[in-house]
Amino acid sequence: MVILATKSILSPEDFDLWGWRVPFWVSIAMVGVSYLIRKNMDESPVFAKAKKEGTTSTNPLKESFGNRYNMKFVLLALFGATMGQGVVWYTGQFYAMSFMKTVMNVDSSQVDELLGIALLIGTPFFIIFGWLSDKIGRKYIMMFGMLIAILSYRPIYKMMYNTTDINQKTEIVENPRETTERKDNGSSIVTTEKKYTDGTTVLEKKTYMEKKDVQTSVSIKINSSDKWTLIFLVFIQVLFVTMVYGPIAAFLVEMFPTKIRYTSMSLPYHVGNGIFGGLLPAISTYFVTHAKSAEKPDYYLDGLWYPIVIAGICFVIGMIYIDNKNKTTHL
Amino acid sequence: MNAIKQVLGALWIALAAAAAYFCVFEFGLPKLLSDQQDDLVFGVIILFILTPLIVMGLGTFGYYSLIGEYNKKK
Repeated sequence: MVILATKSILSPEDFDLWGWRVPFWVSIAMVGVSYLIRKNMDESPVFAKAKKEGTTSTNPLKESFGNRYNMKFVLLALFGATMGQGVVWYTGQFYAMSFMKTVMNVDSSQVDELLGIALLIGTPFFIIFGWLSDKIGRKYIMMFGMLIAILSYRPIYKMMYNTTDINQKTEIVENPRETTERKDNGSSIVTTEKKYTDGTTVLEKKTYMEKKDVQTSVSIKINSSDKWTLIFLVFIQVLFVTMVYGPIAAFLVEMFPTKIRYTSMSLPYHVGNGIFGGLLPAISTYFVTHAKSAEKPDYYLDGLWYPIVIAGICFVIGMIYIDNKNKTTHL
Repeated sequence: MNAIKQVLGALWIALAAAAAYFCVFEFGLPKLLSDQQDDLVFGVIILFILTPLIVMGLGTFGYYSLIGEYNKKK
């Protein structure tokens, strides 16, 4: 949202020059807000009681990871819940964005806008699924979210790709516009604008530099109908995110004893999200690039194998090893 | 269900071993030894971050499962 607002106020040149810093400045303010919230928040009654009675841990790291009984729950939380939750989250929000920008070549500001709308519509579902998990338990909501994500990622991304596939659109042949811009460094940029009957506009930029290969970049401006189709398809993915993410905090809290709770849940949460989820854009983009160079017809779907396999393993482990309770033990 | 968990324990260990082979010999090392910058980054990520996590974590999880640590107490 901040990036979108900054881009809409500044010119592209100003955004590249200094505007990209604005989201980081805003994040400084958000850290302050987080600090104030945390400072004014009371401890949970259970932890406050443990603190009062002096039963909190003196060495939470040793108790969390040096204790075999607790370590098996740490591993179960990682492989049976957070690993799948991490890849579903990163696919729905970050890979969807990267896919639209780099594989589908949709105009960057349009991607930011439609992603912002999908997130805005989807966000209340974090609360809805969190609330529902209080009523019916955490497990089945998270597992159902993972299962439908596994089954529907390929059809969703195929539909997304087809939405802007210019090979399926009709070009207005009499209207291609070409402009040439010469730069001080001797290079020249030739921009060709092609329009299509459904309102889609394709800008193809070719940069010619001495003794270098021609660099080509394509940017597709989509029409309103395609925009709403993409918003809907991203929204569905955000819905999966809310199903796996809404109950996860409560699930992890309930899994570990009070005195080492935060230390114990921190490892599976951050490894699941930071490593398994965080590496998703790099690994999936690599798979797409590799499949493209191997000239596979559905190369753009190959990046999805990473979240599908990881979420698939997590789903099997979660279904078999985790009980649908919202109490401490999940065996 | 306890028997299934124990049998699956062997599967997780086998999966960790298979992941070790593919991550090191199919993905990691060839990329690490490649001259391409993108491949090098991918090789480092696979070899030094993802491989130890999957192999050690999933292997230990499988071992615990195999010896009945996750079995329901009667």
